[in-house]
Amino acid sequence: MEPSKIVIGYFIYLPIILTLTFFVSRTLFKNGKIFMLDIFHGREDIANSTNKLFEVGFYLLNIGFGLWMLKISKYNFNETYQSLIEILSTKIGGFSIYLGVMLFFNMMLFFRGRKRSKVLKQQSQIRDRMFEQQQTKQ
Amino acid sequence: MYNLTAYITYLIVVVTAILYVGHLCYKYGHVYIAQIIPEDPQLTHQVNKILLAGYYLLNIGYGIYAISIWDRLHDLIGVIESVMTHLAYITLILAAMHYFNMLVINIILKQKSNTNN
Repeated sequence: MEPSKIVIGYFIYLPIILTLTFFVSRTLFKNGKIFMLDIFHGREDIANSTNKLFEVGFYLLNIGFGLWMLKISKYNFNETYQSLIEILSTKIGGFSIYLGVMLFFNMMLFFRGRKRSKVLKQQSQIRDRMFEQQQTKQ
Repeated sequence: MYNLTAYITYLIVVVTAILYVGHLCYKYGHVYIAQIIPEDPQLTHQVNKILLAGYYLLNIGYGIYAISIWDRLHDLIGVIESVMTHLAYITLILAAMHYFNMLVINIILKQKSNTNN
């Protein structure tokens, strides 16, 4: 059987990217809920929805990218286990690095949102205080 | 024969994925639309449903169209490769649309809060 080693490669590659995506996303969004509660000032429903929608986006993007990278071209594959391992390590390593970048990007989004919501809260507090002062003057 | 196997696998996975993602977005997007149109719950419900219908039409439409541009397949590797590549395209399209939607909702909410202040 000439092409069988590429099929073995696919059957190794697919479960690995799926489990990697699953575990990274589970860790990220289990902890992301706390950030979301902070960003939306403890409003449970919208925090939960935002977290879930971000999770869906994360899954779609990463699984899509992983499947897109799947194809092993016959051009640089010479039907030995050595070349199979080399190609697979390139692909899985590349995917892990990509996943790490996405993780940090999402964390950056969380931190930025948290900072922004804090600033907005402070602004509204200052506005309320000024309003109260005006009221007492009058 | 290989083509037929590929089509069946592809259709099952794609339709399941699209229905599942659509259901999730419908369920969790309701809060946002309720925030944009707080005065009329009936209208919120209808808008959410119409958005879901548009989403289904667009994505299942593309999913079925992809079959018409499929290559001829001659072996198992071709089947796996073509199914996974087309799945990747449709997943990436879904992801792009999802992020775009969230961006639009964010912009609308921001405008609304600006006019309120």
